[in-house]
Amino acid sequence: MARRYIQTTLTTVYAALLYGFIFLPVGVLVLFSFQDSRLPIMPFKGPTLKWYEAVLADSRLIESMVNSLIVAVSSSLLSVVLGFLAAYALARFYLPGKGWQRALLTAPLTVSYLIIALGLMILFNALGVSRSLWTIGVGHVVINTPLCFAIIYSQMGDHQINIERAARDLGATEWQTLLLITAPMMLPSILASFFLAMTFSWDEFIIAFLLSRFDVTLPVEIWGLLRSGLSPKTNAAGSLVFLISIGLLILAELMVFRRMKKT
Amino acid sequence: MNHTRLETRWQRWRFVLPALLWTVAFFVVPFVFMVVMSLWHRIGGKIVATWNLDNYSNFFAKPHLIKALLNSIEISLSVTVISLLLAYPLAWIIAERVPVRWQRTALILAVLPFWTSYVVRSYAWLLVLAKQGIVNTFLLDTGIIVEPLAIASSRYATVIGFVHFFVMLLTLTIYANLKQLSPNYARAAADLGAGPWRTFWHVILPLTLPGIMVGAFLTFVLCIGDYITPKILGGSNELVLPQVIMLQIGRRADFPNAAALSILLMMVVTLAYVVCARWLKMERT
Amino acid sequence: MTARVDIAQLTHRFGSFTALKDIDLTIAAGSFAVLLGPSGCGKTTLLSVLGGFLRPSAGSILLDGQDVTQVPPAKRGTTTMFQDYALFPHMNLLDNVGFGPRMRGHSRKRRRQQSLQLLELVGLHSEAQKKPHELSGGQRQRVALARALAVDPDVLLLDEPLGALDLKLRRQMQDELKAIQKRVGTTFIHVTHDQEEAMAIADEIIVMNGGVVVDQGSPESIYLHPASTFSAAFMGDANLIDGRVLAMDSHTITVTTEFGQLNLNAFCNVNQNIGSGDRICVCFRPEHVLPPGTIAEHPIDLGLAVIRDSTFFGSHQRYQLLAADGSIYIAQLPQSASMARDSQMPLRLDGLSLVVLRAE
Repeated sequence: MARRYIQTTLTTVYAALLYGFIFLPVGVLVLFSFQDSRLPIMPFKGPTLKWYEAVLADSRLIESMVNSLIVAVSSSLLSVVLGFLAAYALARFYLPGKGWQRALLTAPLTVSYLIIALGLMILFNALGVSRSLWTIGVGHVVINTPLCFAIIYSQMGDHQINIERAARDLGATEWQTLLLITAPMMLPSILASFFLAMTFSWDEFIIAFLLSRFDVTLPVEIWGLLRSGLSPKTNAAGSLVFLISIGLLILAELMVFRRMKKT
Repeated sequence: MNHTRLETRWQRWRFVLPALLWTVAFFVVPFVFMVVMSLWHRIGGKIVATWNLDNYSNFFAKPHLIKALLNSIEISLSVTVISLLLAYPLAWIIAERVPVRWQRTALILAVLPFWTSYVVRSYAWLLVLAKQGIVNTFLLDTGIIVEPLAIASSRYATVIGFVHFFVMLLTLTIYANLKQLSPNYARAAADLGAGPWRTFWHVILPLTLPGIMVGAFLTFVLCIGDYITPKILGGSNELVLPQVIMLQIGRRADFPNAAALSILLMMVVTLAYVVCARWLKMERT
Repeated sequence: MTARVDIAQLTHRFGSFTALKDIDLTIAAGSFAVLLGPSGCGKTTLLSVLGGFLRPSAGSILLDGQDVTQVPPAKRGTTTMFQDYALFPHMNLLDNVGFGPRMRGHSRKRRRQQSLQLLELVGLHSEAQKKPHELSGGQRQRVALARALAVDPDVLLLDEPLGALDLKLRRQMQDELKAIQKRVGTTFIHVTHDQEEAMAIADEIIVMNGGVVVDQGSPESIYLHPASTFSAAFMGDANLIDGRVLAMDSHTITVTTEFGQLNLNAFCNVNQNIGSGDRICVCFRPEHVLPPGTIAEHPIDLGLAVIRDSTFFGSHQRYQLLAADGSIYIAQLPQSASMARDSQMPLRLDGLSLVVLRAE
């Protein structure tokens, strides 16, 4: 009995300490975003919403947020399409060198973003391509296609082959089968990989930093804010981003996991 | 079975080609280009095709570069070990001690700060660890210390920032691994007379080890290639390799040197991969 | 619609393994044909070739005289009903059944009407809005049937469609399948390894073994006049007595067996393929053993046999008999004939039901 009591106490204390550690920076971040002074340090004064007003009035910050959203949505869409088609081909057809193709498609997962960014930067420089949101998008598709491919490929089962055959037997063309049967059937993993790709792109720094010039994404803009030192405005911006990410997470949860549970 | 299929060759290839071409054009080609670039030099503001290994031999001739590589490895290794040691018990508590209907909530809470922006997360740690940050304020106010601790701008801050991130990631991975195990393993072990500790050590831990190794490898790789966390939290007193690479790009536009350093970084990652794969294979046989 | 199926010189190989060997077969329009055989006999391969999912190594397939060997699945008059039903999991029943018509460009209204009609045919029109995962196995099977029929195929190919159902449901679905086939008139080609199922539904049974057709005919003719010992043994229980033909004329076949010399009616040479000196098997069904005391027109006496075991089957009794030749034979006798284990009974056969087959 006593031993059990000690065990429960120990695990509770441990869990509490670790949860504390995990939430400490977020708590501090959000708390000092309401700070009514010029520095986000003790003692806490406030609360005030003036830093949020400042963030929303900062057109560069808002613009970078929009840029981030554009890049995240479009690069994730392209990644999902490329990954899905590749997964379909490799799961369904007899292609020579399948192992090599799979290895090539997933290779970018094992390479640091910094190296991918540097390689693209050197390439674009040599080709005379000027850096823009487009080049960031290209980089994000490079890192997210392998992810989408791997997720969707792992969910392509043999039991779906007969379903696709049945569709073709009933007169559907290859593309009709793909769009009307395979894609809807794979929707949970397609959505899951899309949302994952979105969050990766939304939060990605180094590629966006090295491949952008005038139009920057949100992480790069926040990085710029950091250079001016600690400020509650950065806290407010960070808290807002956190809120948006959580919103995205809830949306994904509602769209993907509800669906998965149902079928 | 070896089906004779009715599709033509083009019909098979057209679906996989876009992804393959994209990967070749924007991943393989840049990489090859980078390898070539690492054999060149920047001389007098211009990049010259010199075709030699000087960038690599220079690396080993310069102590501050070797130090940066060692810093990178030391920090990444300690982050991996500390994160594993902290995350395993938490994952176990969530999987075994938290009532089943609360587990999902407990897990989501444990990884919620994951969703703060990655740049913001490091910044938030700065607020905690800085000279006027809340840790120092708290310790000074309670009289435990008289001088503020210089945690920020040191490798300790970098390690704390990293550990925070990877504890979340590893808790998720290890939890998934633990839940995949059939509860009958533990029951069988207990039935055969093993106590809780021995059950864990001889049965549960070995069974979850492959999954843990994958998580550890991922931690090491993401750590060693990261620029932001050491830059914000570690400052410029002790540089790590990605910081050195960024310096070559940013300040000096010395792409050949940056390329050579990147390839060295990749070799370290590959080495870590080989070690992990070897070790996993040995475990299985 | 319906069509005759002609298969000529069909051969298919998987690598070095020959799955189908020189198959020649004609299936009449509007008939319910069953491909029957043990697993690995090539029946499923034949169905895949008919459906267009496999291109045969050699030979041709004709639907109503038209060569469709090189025509892809969608373009030929066959539709396949898959073993796992392959229903589209994300569509309700109405959309599942309406998929074929949709691919043919039929209007939404017409599709709906057609699908409802077919769902009614299979008794599921009230479940039209449900999704496949909400249905039972038998219901899914019916949806698959309705979906396949929605494109009005000439030939419907059914790949062990009842395999996943439990026994009772399977028997019930057999009757339904047969009734629906008679109603729509489409040629059905059905694959199974269950001989009882084959007998229950088929107009025509095609027995396959080792990639070749070993027997073809109506259920009665295959059961009563099997072409080979394989099809005799595969279709129900068969007792086989080895022997050799000593002499034969237009009335009598004289064979020598372990039981001594037997004089059989020439009528027993059902395949007209044996002659003097040939090694043969005398084949009789369990129900062809005469109950003790029965008077028969042409009885064959095989001496006394010892009852080794008996089983009560409700409508009849089944006995294991140890005969004078030292072999065990199966006999099926009326319920009333209750004989104790280890007692003796005369082993007498109805001589007009015997079949003499070439030994294999």
